[in-house]
Amino acid sequence: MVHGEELGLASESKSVAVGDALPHQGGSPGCDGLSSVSLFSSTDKHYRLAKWEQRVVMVVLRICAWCSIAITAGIVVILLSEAAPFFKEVSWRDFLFGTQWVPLFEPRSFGVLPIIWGTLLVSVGACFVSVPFGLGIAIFLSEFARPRTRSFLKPLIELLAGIPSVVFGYFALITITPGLQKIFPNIEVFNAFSASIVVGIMTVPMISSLSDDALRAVPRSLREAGYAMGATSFEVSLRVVLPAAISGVIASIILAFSRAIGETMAVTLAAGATPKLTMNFFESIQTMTAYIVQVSIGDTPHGSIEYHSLFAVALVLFLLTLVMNTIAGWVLKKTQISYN
Amino acid sequence: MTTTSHNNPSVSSLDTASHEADNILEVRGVHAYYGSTCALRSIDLDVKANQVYAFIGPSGCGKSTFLRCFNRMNDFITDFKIEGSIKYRNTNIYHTDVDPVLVRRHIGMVFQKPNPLPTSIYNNVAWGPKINGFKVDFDELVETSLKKAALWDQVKERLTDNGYHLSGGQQQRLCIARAIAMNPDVILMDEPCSALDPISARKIEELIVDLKKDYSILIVTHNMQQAARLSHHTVFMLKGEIIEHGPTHNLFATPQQSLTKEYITGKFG
Repeated sequence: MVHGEELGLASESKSVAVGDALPHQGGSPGCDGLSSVSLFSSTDKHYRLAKWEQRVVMVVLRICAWCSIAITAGIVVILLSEAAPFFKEVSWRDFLFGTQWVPLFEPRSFGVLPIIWGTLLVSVGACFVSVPFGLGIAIFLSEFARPRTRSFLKPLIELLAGIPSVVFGYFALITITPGLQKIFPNIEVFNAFSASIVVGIMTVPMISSLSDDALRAVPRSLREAGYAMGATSFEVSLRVVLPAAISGVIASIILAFSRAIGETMAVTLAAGATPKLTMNFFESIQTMTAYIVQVSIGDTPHGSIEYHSLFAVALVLFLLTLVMNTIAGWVLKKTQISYN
Repeated sequence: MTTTSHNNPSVSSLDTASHEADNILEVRGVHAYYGSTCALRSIDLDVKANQVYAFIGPSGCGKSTFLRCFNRMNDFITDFKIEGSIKYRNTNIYHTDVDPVLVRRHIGMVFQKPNPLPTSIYNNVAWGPKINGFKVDFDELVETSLKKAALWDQVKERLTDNGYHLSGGQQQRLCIARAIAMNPDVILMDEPCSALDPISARKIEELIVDLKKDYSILIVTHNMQQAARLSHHTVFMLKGEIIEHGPTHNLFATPQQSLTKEYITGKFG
């Protein structure tokens, strides 16, 4: 038994080095070499197979991880290299601060502000729909809904996110806009208003689902603290739970906003293709994504300035969403409180 | 501040002629269930005003469940059911006309784990009185409450700091200050020291000794020395029943039941 104990000890001291070339190292001190070698013999088939299997899996996983990074990097490189010819002809100052976006007709003008403005107009407008509804749904789901109500309501709302955006765009064009025209007769066929509404509806599930998660993550002890001081369940949910979950809620709103910025089909269909700097939601505007669609489906010659302008616009779009997502991550980290 | 204390018709007593007027709480025939599991079995207990009651017993004996019956905190557990009556100043708090929200304004609670709200120290104390529409000078209320909780000197310079920046013991005293600010009659304490280091725990204990002058305190504790040091009355519970209760000194010196004796001498638990 003494011998066996020695072996046990040896296996413990060895287990640290299990990584590589184990059997060839000889016995550890304090243990006789022979039995140690036979104990860790590499002829153990099961062990060798497991080891080999682990290596293969590790390599595959590593490739997967690097692939996603490589693809992102590739996109950025292509955006930059394809946008470079554009910036040879148009100065970045004219591009970023110009107020006329007339890329397809003479005299051309490549001031990107009108389509950035269009994008922000629709995205902010969408927030007026998605934030109240999404937050209301989230608070209802997490604080007031019975488990049964919740169990069918939440998947139902998340189903909204599964509807293709072209369907939403069509819906805006043939249902929302005619409806709006009955209320506001001066509204154009293509308008920022219906685009905002429909993009807002599309981003409701994002806010409701993520905020619901954030609200439910608030520990029960905090709700109890509120109730113990004579608060009603309404006061507890609005004045204890919501402030406690605010970081997650704000992050969900920013992510929804960033999703609205990137939304393409619905706004292309609903908002039209008239780049302009306007505050009027009843007019047709153009977003960056809609411009990209417009040029992509046209017969733009490869290598022309319109062609390269696509990449310049895409670059702006990419940076905008990158900034929004970074802010979301930062807010989440900055305002998070550990309740432990 | 006292204006809000006993002027609510649904809770306050009109029947002041009761011969047991010094009983602030009367528990009669209480049974409680989680689903089909019986958690409390035919409990009767009188709680006199301005006294400290300690509830002792092994884990799972129902002492926390019992404590949470007094401010209807168990209402939030979906399959919880209670029978019998608990009268606060002669009004059954489980009567259908009684709003549990109003009950909790008179019967405050301090929890096992300090649970400050994620807001400033000041707002933590002022929050309850504010949402309950107290018409008082809030600065003064915050100061007196924090002083009563022996926390004022440590936080007066940083009332706008988040409550979570305090140490565990300070957080618990903040929670006590918060309960005091509501000017309750009764304070329920569910193992208020068990999550704290010994020094903080001692400070909380000293605080409870101070508080018992002004409030009726019901405290659940695992620590029998603590029960002996703090309370006037001790209630020993086992498997959802009260085995024995009486003046603390008598219960520890001459327990009437063999189970009590075994528990307090450490034979089980």
